[in-house]
Amino acid sequence: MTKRMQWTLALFFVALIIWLGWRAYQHRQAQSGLAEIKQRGALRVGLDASFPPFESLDENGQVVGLDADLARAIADDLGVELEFVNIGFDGLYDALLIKRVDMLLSGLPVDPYRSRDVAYSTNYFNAGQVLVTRRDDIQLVDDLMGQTVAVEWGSLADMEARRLQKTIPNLQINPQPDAQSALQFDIAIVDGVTALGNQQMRIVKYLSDEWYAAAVSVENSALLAEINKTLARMQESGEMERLQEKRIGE
Amino acid sequence: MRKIVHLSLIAIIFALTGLLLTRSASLPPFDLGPQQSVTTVNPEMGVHTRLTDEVEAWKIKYTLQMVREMGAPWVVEYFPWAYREKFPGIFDWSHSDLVVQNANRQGLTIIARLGYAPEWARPANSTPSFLAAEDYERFGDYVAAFVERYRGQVDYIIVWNEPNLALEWGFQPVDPAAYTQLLSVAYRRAKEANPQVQVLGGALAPTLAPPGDEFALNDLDYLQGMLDAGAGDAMDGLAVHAYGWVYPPDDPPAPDVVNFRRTELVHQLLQENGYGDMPIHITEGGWNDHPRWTRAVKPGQRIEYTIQAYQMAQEWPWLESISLWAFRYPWPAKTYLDYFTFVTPDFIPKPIYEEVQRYAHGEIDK
Repeated sequence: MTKRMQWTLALFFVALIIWLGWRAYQHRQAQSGLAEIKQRGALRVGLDASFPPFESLDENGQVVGLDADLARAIADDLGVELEFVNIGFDGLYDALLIKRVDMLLSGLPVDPYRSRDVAYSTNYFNAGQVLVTRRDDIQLVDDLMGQTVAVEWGSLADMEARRLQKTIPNLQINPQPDAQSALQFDIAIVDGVTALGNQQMRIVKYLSDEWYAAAVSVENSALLAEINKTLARMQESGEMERLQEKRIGE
Repeated sequence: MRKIVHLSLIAIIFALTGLLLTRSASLPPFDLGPQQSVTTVNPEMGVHTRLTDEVEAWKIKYTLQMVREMGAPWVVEYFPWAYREKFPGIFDWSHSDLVVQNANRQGLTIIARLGYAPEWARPANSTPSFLAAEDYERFGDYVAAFVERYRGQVDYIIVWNEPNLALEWGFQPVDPAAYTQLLSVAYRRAKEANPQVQVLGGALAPTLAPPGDEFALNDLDYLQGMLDAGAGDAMDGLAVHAYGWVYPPDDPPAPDVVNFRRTELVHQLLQENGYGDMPIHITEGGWNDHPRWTRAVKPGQRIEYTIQAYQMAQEWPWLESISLWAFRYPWPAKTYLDYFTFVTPDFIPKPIYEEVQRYAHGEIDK
């Protein structure tokens, strides 16, 4: 073996050792967040309890809502206690990044610009704008030709209706003071939460997406995997749908 | 011979570095389109744009075109010092040229916010809102260079932003006298560069924070402090932030309430100090229609309040312009902040844009 080959091999092994060391460090970092939660015996969930039906305080000061139910399921699957940390919406990400909380679950829209620091779970709710109706003849957006759609004046639903008006002939808009009033009419555009809360209207189509997900620190991939496992289990078993009906349909 | 080659290489490297640092003149030409003018029933109407982080030239042009089409002749825009002078004395005007030229071509009047200190002008581990008193002249250099470059294109500048908040004052205790010193330096340097430019001071955050508060000082107390320190002679006009929060625009003013008509108290304070003729420009303000933010109103209310505010502003003889926050963000904030805008990041006009446009074009009389 020539001296040059010996050097090449030596360099290769040094690089391999550095790479393996780095992988081991990353793995330890990823596991350490989860290990810390288990050692502590409690999962700290950050939320802003002012957003029913996702999270709000009941008459006893307890956090209730869809997010609270999901957090409880995640903590149960991890075998730890659940601790809610109530924080103003603006401070949620900071609280996560300084490790004041382990995760956020707070009607939180997925923000791709935060992916350097934050990792999101699989989506669990779409709060985007929805076309709903109680009429059987409205099956597609194109069926709105010549129809009147009710919206909350000035809202994002109104924005979607005005957009549709540019492509669908003779579509009329019926502006209402709020989303609930819009649901009194046969065809309406409302946000996903309002749509799911109304059992008499059928969802025709989501016109825009506003996905909610849980968020963890980007280093905490082991916890993220556990959260996703719980969400997937709840989706498959139908528990997610039941909870949504219970909390949002209330 | 070898020495000559080495020297040549060094010279080439220097030349290339110089070219890179002064690349402002080498940007590809951009079609600004024909000269436009704003059609509006209200010549005081404006919006605060957010083009600082907008990279693509066509988006800058289209944003300003939409402002013009809405019927707002005024825009407030931020021109951060740190972005223009990354190295001492070496200016990159490429981005600000795009904004200024496009705004001018759309027939808009620009109020330029100047601030945000570069790293080289402040101590390590300080924030861009920090500037030591001994470095005020460095900021003055930037002000002079900006005003000189945009003579005849930018007639109004605002010195710093919300200095009555510790966050905007480098996390130091807020200090109206120190801000007045900064304002005086900027005023002198701006006037030396272009005597016609109008220097606006203040741009204070409306807040009720009492003296001694860790984070802020009541804007009225702060303004009095500025005037006591001589700020009245170091500005041609006052920039005011007028947020309505949950109150309608005609909600009566009171010292212990933050609402739109707090602007009247600001004018009154100027009057009491002998500056009643000083023009006021509202350079931020408006309402938010987020579904859950505690300071938000319903979307329909936001439309009504906004149009009423534009109308009310015309009744204040001491008010020269009213620019509301914010026309459009380059990307979604994914927080309540998104519900301040008139247009989405994808340029989809929100209903408020269309209603304000109808008002500005005389189609509604609310």
